[in-house]
Amino acid sequence: MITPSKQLVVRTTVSLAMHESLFLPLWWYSRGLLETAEWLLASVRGSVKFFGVDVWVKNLFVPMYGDASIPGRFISFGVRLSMVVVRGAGAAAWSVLAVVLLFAYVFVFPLVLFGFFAHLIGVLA
Amino acid sequence: MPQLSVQLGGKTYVWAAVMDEAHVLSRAAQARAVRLVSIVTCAKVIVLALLALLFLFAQDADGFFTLAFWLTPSWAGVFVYAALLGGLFFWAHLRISAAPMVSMPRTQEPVAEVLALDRVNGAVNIETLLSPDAIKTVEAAFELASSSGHGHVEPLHLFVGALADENVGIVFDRLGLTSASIQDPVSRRLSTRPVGKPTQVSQEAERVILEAFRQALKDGRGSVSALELFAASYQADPFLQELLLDNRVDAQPFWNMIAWLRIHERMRERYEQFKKAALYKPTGAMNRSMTSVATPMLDAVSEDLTAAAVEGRLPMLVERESEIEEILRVIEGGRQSVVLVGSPGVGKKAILAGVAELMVEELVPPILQDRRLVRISIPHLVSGVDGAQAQERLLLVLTEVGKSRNIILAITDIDQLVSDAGAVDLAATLVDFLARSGAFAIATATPQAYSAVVERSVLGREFQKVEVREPDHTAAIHMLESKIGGIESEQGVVFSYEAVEKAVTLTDRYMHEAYLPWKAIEVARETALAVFKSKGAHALVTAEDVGAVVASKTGVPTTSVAEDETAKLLSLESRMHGRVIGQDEAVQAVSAALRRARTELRSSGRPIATFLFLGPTGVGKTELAKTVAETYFGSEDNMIRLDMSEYQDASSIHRLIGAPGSGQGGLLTEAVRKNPFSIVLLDELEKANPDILNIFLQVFDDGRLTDAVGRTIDFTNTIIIATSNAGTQYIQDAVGRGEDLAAIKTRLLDMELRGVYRPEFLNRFDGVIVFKPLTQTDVLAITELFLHQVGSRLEPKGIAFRAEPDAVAELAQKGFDPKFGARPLRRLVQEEVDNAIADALLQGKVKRRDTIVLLKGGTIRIDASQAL
Repeated sequence: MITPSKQLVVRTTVSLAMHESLFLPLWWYSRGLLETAEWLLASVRGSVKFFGVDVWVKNLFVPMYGDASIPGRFISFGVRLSMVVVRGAGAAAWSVLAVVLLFAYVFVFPLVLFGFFAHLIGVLA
Repeated sequence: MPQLSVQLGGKTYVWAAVMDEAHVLSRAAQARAVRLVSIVTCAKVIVLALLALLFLFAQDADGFFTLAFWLTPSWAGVFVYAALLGGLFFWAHLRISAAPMVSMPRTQEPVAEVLALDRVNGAVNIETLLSPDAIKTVEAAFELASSSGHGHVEPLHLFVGALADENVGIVFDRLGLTSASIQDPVSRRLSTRPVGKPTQVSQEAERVILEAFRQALKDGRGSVSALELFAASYQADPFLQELLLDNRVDAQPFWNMIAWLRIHERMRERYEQFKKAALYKPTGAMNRSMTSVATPMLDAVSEDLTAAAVEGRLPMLVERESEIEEILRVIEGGRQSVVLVGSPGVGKKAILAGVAELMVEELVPPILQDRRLVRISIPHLVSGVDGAQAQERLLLVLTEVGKSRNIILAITDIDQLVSDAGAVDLAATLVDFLARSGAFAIATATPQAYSAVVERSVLGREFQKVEVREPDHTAAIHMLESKIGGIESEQGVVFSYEAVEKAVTLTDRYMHEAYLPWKAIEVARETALAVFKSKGAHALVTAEDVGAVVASKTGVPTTSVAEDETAKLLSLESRMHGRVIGQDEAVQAVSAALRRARTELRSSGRPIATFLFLGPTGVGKTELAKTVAETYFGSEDNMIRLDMSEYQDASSIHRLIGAPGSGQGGLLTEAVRKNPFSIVLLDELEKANPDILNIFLQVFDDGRLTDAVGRTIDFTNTIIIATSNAGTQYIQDAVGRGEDLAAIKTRLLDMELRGVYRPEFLNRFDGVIVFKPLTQTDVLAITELFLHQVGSRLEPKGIAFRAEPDAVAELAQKGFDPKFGARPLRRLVQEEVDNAIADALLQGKVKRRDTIVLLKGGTIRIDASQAL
C-alpha cells in the first residue's frame, strides 16, 4: 500500500482548506445554490405528494365512498374542493417555506461574513 | 493517454486517470486531507461555539435573542459569527467532498461496446465515478505492477488488487477459494510479465475498467465498484479463468456468484426505495382519493396483498420481469383479466407479490394506480355453505368490489370456482361481474387445471393466459440466491455457492414431482436446519450437506464418491463373483455401467443402464440382477420385479401404467414413482405381448414414461434388466459345439431372436449379454456357494458347518442338470443337507459350538465341541 508522507498530507490539507475557503463564495452561488434549489424543488414536489393534492384534484368529480347519487356527488364535490383547498394550503405553506429557505441560503453567507467582520472590527476598534 | 472509450448519450467516457507514483500518492494524500479538513473544521466550530457560549454567559445570556446583540459589536458576537461561518464552511466542505464531479449517466438506451477513442477533446473522465474501493483496487494494482518493475498494469494486477475488497472476499469464501490456493500460480504468472519503466495502464486494463463502467451502467448503479473491476478482469484474462478452473470454479458458477452479490445489492436498494414509496400507500380499505367504500364481506374472505407488501411481508421478486411486463401489458392494453398458468412451485404467488409491490410503488400503468390487490380465498368463500349460498356470498363480495372501484382481485387456483362449488355458476357470476364492472382479476391455475377446467369454462373467454414456466437452471439459482440471505439469518449458517447450485441441480435431476425454484428453496431450508443442528451456528453449508438431504429424500446416493466407496466400486467384479459364479462378460458389463453411473459419466436423460440377459434357465441371470440390487442400490428390496409372462395380452398394459380414467397409476409406474432409485427386472421378457414391449422403447430412450394419471415417471435412476430364455436351445447347442461366445451372440441377434423381438427394440439395450450354460467347474463352485450359505444360516445358532470335498463333488454331480442349470442343485441342497440338519437340530443332537460335517452319501457327522 502506497502511503503518503506526513508532510505531503499536511501540505495537501492546507492547500485544500485554502482552496475551499477561497472558492467558497463561488461554490456557494453556483453549484451550491443549484443543488439547494433542486433539493428544495424536490421537497415541494414531495409535499404535493405528501398532501395528496394531485390525487384529490384528479378525483374532484369522482364521488366519495362510492356514493354516486346526485346529492352524494354534490357533497363529494364540496368536500373534495375544500380538501383540495386545505391540502393545497399545506403544500403551499411548504412551498413558501422552501422559498424562504432559498432566500435564507442566498443571504446567510454575506450576512454571517459581514456580521463577523463588523463585530471583530467593532471590538478591536 | 486514453486509447479506448464508451459512447453514451452523445458523450464520450474514457479512463484518463494519471497513474504514476506521484499521482497515486497525491490521491491518497487528498483523501486524507479531506478527512483532516472535516475533523479540524468540526473541532473549530465546536471550540468557537463553546467560546461564544462562555462570552455570552459572561456578558448577558438573555441578550442573545435581541437585535442589539447581533448588531452591537461584542466578543460573544465575534465568536457566534465565527462559529456560524465555520458551520457554513463545514457544510459546504461535506457537500463538495461527497458529490462527484461527474455523475453516473442514466440512460434507457443499450450501453455501447468499448471502442477505440477517436478524439480526447471533450471526453468525460470516469475516474470520479469509481467508488473509493474501486480506486483502491486500481491503486493496489498499480502498486503491485510498479513494485514488481512491470511495464504495464494488466487485468491480472487489477484482479489481485481487488482481492482486498470485502465483496470480492465474499465471492472467494462462497466459492470455496482462498488466497493461498491461487498464490503460487499468480506469483509465477506475475514473474513472467514484461518489465519496464515507468509503469503504465495497459490497453487491456483500460478495457477492463471501461467494461466495469458499462456493467455498472447496465445495473443502474451509482458508481463503479471493486466487484465490477474484479469480474471484468476475470472476463478479460484467460489465465484467470484457467486459474479458477484449476480450483474447480468454472465460468458459470463464477458469474452466478457475482450475480448473487448484485441481486443482494439490488434487493437492498429496492427495499430502501420501496420503504419510501410505501409511506404513501394506505393499508386499509380506503384509497388515497377516498373513492372506495368499506368492504367487510370481502375482508372476511381475503387478504390484502398491497397492505402485506407495505408491511414487508411479501418476498422480493427476482427474474420474472418478462411475466410481470406481460401481465401489465394485457391489463393495460386489452383491459382484460389475466390467468397465470404454471406448475405448482414455479412462483405464481411470487409474481402476484411482485405486482403488489409495484402497485405500492405506483410503478404500474395508471389503470392500476391508487388501487389495492386483494387475494380472495375460494375455500373461505365456499366453506360450510351449499352452491347457492356460495354464489350469494360471491355476489356480495363482488358488489363490494364493484362499489369500491379500487380493488384488483387476485384469485389463486381459479379452477376451484368451478370444481369446488359443484356448479359452473360461481365462475359465470365472476365472469359476468368482470365483464359488466370493468374490474380486473389476476388469477392463477396449474396447467392441468387450466386445460381441464378453466379453458373449457366461461373463465377461458374472460381471462387471458400468461404462461409462467419453470425457470431454467441459471434463473433458478438466482431465485434461490435471493432467498438464501433469509434462510441464513433464520438458521445462523452460511451457504457456499456450491451448496446453492447443488440444491438446484440435484432437485432438478432427482425430484421430478415438484418444480423449481420451490423444491430447491425447500431443500436449502432443510439443509440449513440439518447443518445448524449437526454443526452448530455459523457453520458452512456445503454441497455434500445438500447432497445428503436430497439423498435422504429420494433414496438416490447424491453425495460425491467417498474413499471407501471408491474401493468398493473398483472391486465390483470380485464382489459380484461372490454371488454369481462364472458369467465374466455379464459381470464386467454390469460393473462398468455402475461405475459410469456413480461417477456421473452416463447420459443423464436415460436409465443408468439397460441390459438384456439371454441364456438358459438357472445360469445366474436373476441372481446377477439381485446382486446388482444389493451391491449398488443397497438391498435386494430395491428391486421391482415384473414377471412378464403375466402380460401376455395387449390389454395388460393397463396393469403396467394404469387404466385410463381410473385415476391410478400402474404396477410399474407406481413402483418406480415411489422408489425411483431401483432395479427393474423384467423376467422372461419373451413371454410378454409385443405391444407391451413398445412402451419400453420410450423408457430406454428418454428415461420417462407417462402413466394413466398423466404423471411423468422418471426412470433415469433405474437399471433395467430384462431376462429372456429365447434362443436357449441354440445357445446350448452352440456352446456344446465349442463356438465362440461373440459369434453365438451375433447369430442370436441376427437370426434366432428375429422372430421374438423387433430389431429396434434389441438395438435400444445398452448391452445384450449371453449367459453361458454352466460347466462342471462352475457347478462345483456353485455347490460350495450354496453350502456356504447353509453355514451362514447356522452361524447365528452358534453351530459351525463344513463339507468334505468328496461330499461337495457328489452333490455337484447329482444336482447338475444341463437343461435347468443350478436350480436342481439348490433343491438338492435343501433336500439332502438342510433336511438332515433340521432333523439333527430337532432331535437335540447338535449343541452350540458343535460342528456339523457333511459327508459323502448325504449323511452328516456332528463333531461335538469341548465343554466349557
